[in-house]
Formats: sequence, C-alpha cells, structure tokens
Amino acid sequence: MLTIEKMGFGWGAENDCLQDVNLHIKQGEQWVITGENGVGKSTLLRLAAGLLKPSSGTVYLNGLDLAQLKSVEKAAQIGFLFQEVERQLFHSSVLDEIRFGLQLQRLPSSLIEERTQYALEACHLTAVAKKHPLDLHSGQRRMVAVACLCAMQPPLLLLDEPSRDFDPYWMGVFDTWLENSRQQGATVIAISHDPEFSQRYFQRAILINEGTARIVT
Amino acid sequence: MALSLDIDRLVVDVYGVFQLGPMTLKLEEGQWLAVFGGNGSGKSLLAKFLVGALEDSAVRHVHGRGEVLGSNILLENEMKYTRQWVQQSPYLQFSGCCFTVEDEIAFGPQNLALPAAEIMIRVETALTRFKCQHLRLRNPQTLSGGEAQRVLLACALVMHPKLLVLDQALGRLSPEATYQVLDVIQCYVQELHCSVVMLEHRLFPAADYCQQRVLLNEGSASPFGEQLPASLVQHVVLPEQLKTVLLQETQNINEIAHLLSPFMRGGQACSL
Repeated sequence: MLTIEKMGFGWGAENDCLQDVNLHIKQGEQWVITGENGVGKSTLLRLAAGLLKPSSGTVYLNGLDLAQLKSVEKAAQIGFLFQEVERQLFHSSVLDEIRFGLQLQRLPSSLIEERTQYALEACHLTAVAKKHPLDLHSGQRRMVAVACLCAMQPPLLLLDEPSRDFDPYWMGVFDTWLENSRQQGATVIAISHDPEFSQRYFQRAILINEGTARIVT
Repeated sequence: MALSLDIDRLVVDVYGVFQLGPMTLKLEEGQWLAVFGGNGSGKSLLAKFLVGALEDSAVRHVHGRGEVLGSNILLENEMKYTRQWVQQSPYLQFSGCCFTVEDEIAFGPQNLALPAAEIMIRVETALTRFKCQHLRLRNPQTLSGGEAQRVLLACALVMHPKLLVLDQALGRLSPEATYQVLDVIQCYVQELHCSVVMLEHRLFPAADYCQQRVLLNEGSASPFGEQLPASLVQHVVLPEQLKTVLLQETQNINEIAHLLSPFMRGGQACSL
C-alpha cells in the first residue's frame, strides 16, 4: 500500500529532521508511530500523505510515486486527521464540512447525501449537523473531522494523535468507527502517546529517535 | 492563608444556552485544583470564566457569589494578567504577531511595560526551565504540538501569575514530558505563590498533583470524593486496570480512595 524508500527530510539546509527512512506497509496493516515530542512524527505522517516533499528518496502509494499524483487522486486514497483539528475544518456547518470532500470527488449527489447521512449517524453527529463545527466541544469537533474520513472511505488512514480529545463516550464512538474501517480493509498509520490505545489497535510500531525510524514490533 | 478561589454556590448563565453551576470552589494560595469532566461538561467555559475571558454580555448572574484573587468574578478587573490561561489548542493561542519563540514569550511582559532587563531575565528563565532554549529562534507556528505547549506554558508563567488555569494544556506532550513539565510548574508556583486549576478529562496526571478534585457534569461541580465509581468511569478517562477495579465497587470514591493509590505518582520535590 505505502512504501517509503531512502527518504530524508529537513526543515532548511542544516536541519536533518528525518534520515534514510525505509518502510513497507501492506494493505490492511495497522501501524503506530511513537517517539518524543519534536522528533518528526507528524512530519513523517505529512510526508506519507504527500503534504510535504521529501528532500531525498521516494514515497510510493500502490506502486505509484506519490509526488506525481494529483491532489484529487491523493484525496481519494488518503484520509488525514490532523493533530489540530481546527486546522482542517473551515465550513460553517457540520453537514457542509462532511459533503465537501465528496463534492470534490464529483460523486453523484444521491451518493453524496447517502454517505453524508451515514457518516453523521456513525459519528453520532446527526443532532449537531447544522451547527458550526467550531461551536462544538472538542470531542465532537474532532469527530467532525473523523466523519469527513468516514464519508470519503479512503483505503489509507493517517491519524495524528486521534484519541487525545475524547472522553469515554466519544472514545467509544471513535473506537467503533476505527474497528469498522479496519474490518473493511483500511490501512491505518497513527501517531499516539497513549499506550492503551496503541496496544488495543496496532500490531506494528515505529519508533522515531534522532531522525531515524526504527520498526520496534 | 488567602483564598485564590472563593466561589460559593455560584450559578451563571453563559450565552443564554449553558448554565455553569451550581459550583462551590475554595482554593488556597499555592494549591492545585483538578476539575474533571467529559466532553461538553463545561470545562473550557469554566476556564474562560475563571480568567475573565468571557465577554460581560455573555454572562448573566443567576445565583450565589464568587471571588477570584480577592475580586468579584462578575466584574471587570484590570489585574487580569495575574490570571493566566493555557488552552488545549496551542496554535490558536499564539499572538500571531511574533516570529520567534523568544519574542512570543516576551510579548506579555512587554505589554506590561516592564523594564527590558527584567523581561530578559524572565524570558531566559522560562526558556531554560521549559527546555526551550534550542527553539528560541523558531517561528512558533512551525513548532510541533508538544513544543508549542511547552512554549505556551512558558508564555503564561513569564507573566508571574497568581492563578494558572490549564485547560487540557498538556495533551500534546509525551507521558514523560508531561510529568517533567508539571514538575517545572510546581517549582514555579511554589516560588510565585500561585494557584493552579487543571481542567481535564483524564484522571492522570492531574490527580497526581492536585490536592483538591471536583467533577464537572453539565456545568455543575460536585466533590470528586462523593462520586460513585460508575460515574467516574462514565465521565473520566481512566487507566484500563483502574477502570476494571472501580467497576466492581459500589461505595463512593472517598471510601475506596486506597484503590487509586497504586496508580498515583507523587510529584517530585522542587530541585531547580
């Protein structure tokens, strides 16, 4: 599904954030990325999504060079949940936020409505569908971003510290969505500092330390 | 000892849609209070209310009384800088007009028109204690989540507050870094005689540092020790092992407090 070959990245000429990263992630696998603050976990995830360009090496998605794919092609394949969810919500209602990605894919309107309603129900957001996403509490706000992924149904999910904002109720809603995605064959790569969440879902782990990514399980 | 928080059966209506209270909160100078609650329980509204960040028109007094650092909580106060608030989303709290971490930390003291030498000393101390020296010339918007939270804590404490309100302000830090940062805050507050309010949906690490604890549910605060285990499990994120233990109990938390002890980590003594 995702192959990273000899990839390096730096913020500026003198900063080697990541060096010689090699990863081969198969379809349906679940990986967690761990490491101390500021070591480059979110940077690695953004490189895997094609949001940043590697300084060296290549990222392949299903055998194709990620840098050569158009944005709309990447969006159909990759779902990204940012650490700061406020940075990915910009519509004035939850409904419009969920519809947006589907509309960009130029799907038939009946399918857009069907998937939007499904995502609202799966993410327990039906009651707040017409509200502004930023008027919601932090758990619901993060779930709006999850609902966008739920509607798009991409085969690769990249999640940056997804479990942090949830109380027990919303964690349960998120768990159900993640488990459903997994059963439907989604590949998941997540960053997490939460050992219980990591142990619950992820078979493989990558530790980032001093610019290198090491597979630890 | 003086009370930093003296709130007695206070009820306020916020934006006409949310009732905050009834709540009774007493916090002595230098002490820590944990306010636990699930998503939507009113934690962030309470944080804004305590630091005076809610606009006057948003708050309607219903019942009771409240004082923060000796001033009526319902009245405008010129000494608001003595109450510092760190929010859960760090990038939303940066000033937006500083292009280095150093300038961001100095921004608050500069607005108090403190002498330049005093500002430099405060900024250097904050950078050193929160281990941010290597970040001093970085643009705040390019920091990682954990780095951004360290810098914001430095921005808050450089103001030498008397009340520090942490609204899920440590969520981007790794577990090790979280305890390191809390130890630093503990040293700071001892020196400054500052009180701390932590608003959290996770039991730890707040329970390790806070002598007083309350549970917030739909805006209403009640003593943590009077909760039944099932209520705690419903509203607060707990370690799985502790959850299993608590679900077998029917007495309130005060009566089974010993069950929490094995999961506690005492804050380290101040050695800075």
